[in-house]
Amino acid sequence: MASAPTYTPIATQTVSGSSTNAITFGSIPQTYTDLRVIAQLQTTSSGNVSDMAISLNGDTTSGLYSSTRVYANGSSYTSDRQSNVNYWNQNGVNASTAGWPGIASFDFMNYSSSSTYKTVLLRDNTVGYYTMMLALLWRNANAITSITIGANSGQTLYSGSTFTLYGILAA
Amino acid sequence: MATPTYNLIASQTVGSGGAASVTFSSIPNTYTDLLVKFSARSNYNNNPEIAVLSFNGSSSSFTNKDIFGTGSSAVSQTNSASGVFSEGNNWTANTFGSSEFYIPNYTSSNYKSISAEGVSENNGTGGYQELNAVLWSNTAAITSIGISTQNGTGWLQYSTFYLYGIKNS
Repeated sequence: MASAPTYTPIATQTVSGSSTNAITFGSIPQTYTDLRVIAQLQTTSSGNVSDMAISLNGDTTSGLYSSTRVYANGSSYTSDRQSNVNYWNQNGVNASTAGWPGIASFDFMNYSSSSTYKTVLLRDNTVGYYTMMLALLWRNANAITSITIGANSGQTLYSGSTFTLYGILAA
Repeated sequence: MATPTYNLIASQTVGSGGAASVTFSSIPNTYTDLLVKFSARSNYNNNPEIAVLSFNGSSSSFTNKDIFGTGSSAVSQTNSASGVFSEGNNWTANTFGSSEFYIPNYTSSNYKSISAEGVSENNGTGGYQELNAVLWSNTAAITSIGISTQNGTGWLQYSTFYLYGIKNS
């Protein structure tokens, strides 16, 4: 007997207007095994490239976030990391003068666990400028109930930026 | 409760005699994103093969920036085509590369941003893995997708290509 279909869209958000700093998926159901977010976005930060600001459960003060990435710009590559920060913001996103949006896919494994820290795989394409992959860590064992993704403080998301949250069931 | 989505639109398996390229045409415009996954090996007598993407019958207006590793070194390149690694025909027999293209908002009137990944493996003694950010500078909705071999040698038998449609609601 075939398994039940999975990969279910839980919610989607499309930015309209010019004043949205970030979107939040709140009240995330705890009934899936993993979560996936697909984002196609661009910020109003100056230049071609800026960073996303990403946080979980509204936590922007604990200093429990860290990340490691490898990225390349079409001629050279680098790996670096950030530690003990209040949210993830060392990544990449197409910014105001890029001319088109980039793509980011987030995989949150075992997000409803109440006994393990949360790790996230982020595949991040600042299209036209960088390709990168990141391992993100939030040293908090709480189940993930909300995810916030946005531009840096003082900046906004372009109208038309889209974010979709999917739930994946193991069985 | 939302309905599960991640639907197989079409699949193709290369038969005996091989195939110069694979094309998915008449793609419905009812999904949000498209995902092409393929397990493939070409007749190219070298490695890796580059699987070249085309939209609506055209392979022009693509650019990409990638990073790839060989097991001993890494390289980043900018290319004016839309390729991602697959397997050539001079490495371990019966081994096929694994690759994918993720294409969000394929019906939009903006330029198309694509995320690509591919691997090619040689029995533990060598291999390539690649991450790629691809831009198609064209505002047309995508109605067909072609995947060919950069070196023109075509795909070998048992290569498989799957096109999925993903809805956001």
